[in-house]
Amino acid sequence: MQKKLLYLFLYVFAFISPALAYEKETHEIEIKDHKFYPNVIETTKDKVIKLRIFNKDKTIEEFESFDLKREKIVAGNRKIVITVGPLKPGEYIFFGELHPETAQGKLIIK
Amino acid sequence: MLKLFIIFFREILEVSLLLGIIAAATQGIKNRSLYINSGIVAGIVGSVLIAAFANYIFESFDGYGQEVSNAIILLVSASMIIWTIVWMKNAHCKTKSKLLDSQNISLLSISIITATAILREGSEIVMFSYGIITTSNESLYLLFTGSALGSIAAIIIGILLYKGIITISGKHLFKITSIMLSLIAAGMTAQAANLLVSSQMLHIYQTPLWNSSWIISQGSFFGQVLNTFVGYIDNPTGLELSFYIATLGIIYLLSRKRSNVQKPNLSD
Repeated sequence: MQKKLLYLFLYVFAFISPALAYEKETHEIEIKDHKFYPNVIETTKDKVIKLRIFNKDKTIEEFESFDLKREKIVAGNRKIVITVGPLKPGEYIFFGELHPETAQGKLIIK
Repeated sequence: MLKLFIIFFREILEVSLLLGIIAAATQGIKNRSLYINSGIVAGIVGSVLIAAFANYIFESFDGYGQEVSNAIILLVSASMIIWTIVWMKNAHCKTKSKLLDSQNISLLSISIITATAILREGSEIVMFSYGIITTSNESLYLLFTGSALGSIAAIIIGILLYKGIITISGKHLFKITSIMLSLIAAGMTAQAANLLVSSQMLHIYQTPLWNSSWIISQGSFFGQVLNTFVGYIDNPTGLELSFYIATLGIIYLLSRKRSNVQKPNLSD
């Protein structure tokens, strides 16, 4: 029983990814007229990425991404921070849930 | 107007479906409409309050106040659903098919589930509507019509679900609603786990286990409905799956224990 617990502990411990150990990077995104500027962000893999999103519209927006697993309201003329990663190479689509027809963007990890 | 219709429909549909299931599950309990209605009022008042203090709440927890408060709302909601499932199983064992008497504390959980369901989407709707009213060029009449029609359409679907569950399940009403509520609670805790990750509180098991977005995308309408009913996530992480399974496990264990306790009563 004790041996089993030890294995379980080791198994759990092996999967804990210390986010502190990864390189950090910050990107600024602006929302204006319900569009993201820039709407494409490129970076490399295995980084913790901070997205600072400044909504310059008067209306609220909801930053949403199924690929990044994030959903966050940003009120008019307000800023929010979203932290993601470390990420594997690929394209991660995000959009504004309240204006999905114009507010579209993606994060490209190489 | 169409845009408002779609947004109100989508946001209120989730609440309306959950309330439809709760209403079906608590069918036959005395005064349950009173508890559901007071939950609705509390949820609406709470949503307006959160919207009013949104900037303050959102900026707490180093800017992750939104994630933290949503995680708390989801975890409270899920615990109350678990409580209700276990309590109802217990009550059913005691009374068999008789109508359940109201037990104030347990029924309060129904109010809390209702209120938290509304709180989750409510403050967003309030903030969005406020923004639209103050900035849109469209007439208020059109804006009001769009949002009212969207809300009514979503509420009608919730009522149809309620009637549908009661008609179809018949004798198995309790079993069916318990399974539905268990899956909803599991979906909620998985979502709460992800919010704790988003708020930088947890950092474990973050690699997605699979990606089934090519079969059903979470962004599609069907994917969203599945997400509401069974907590469907197209690229779940190990952490989300662990919370999901653990919640189902807890419900199973608690229900089993309660029914064992009830065995002597049944033989009376």
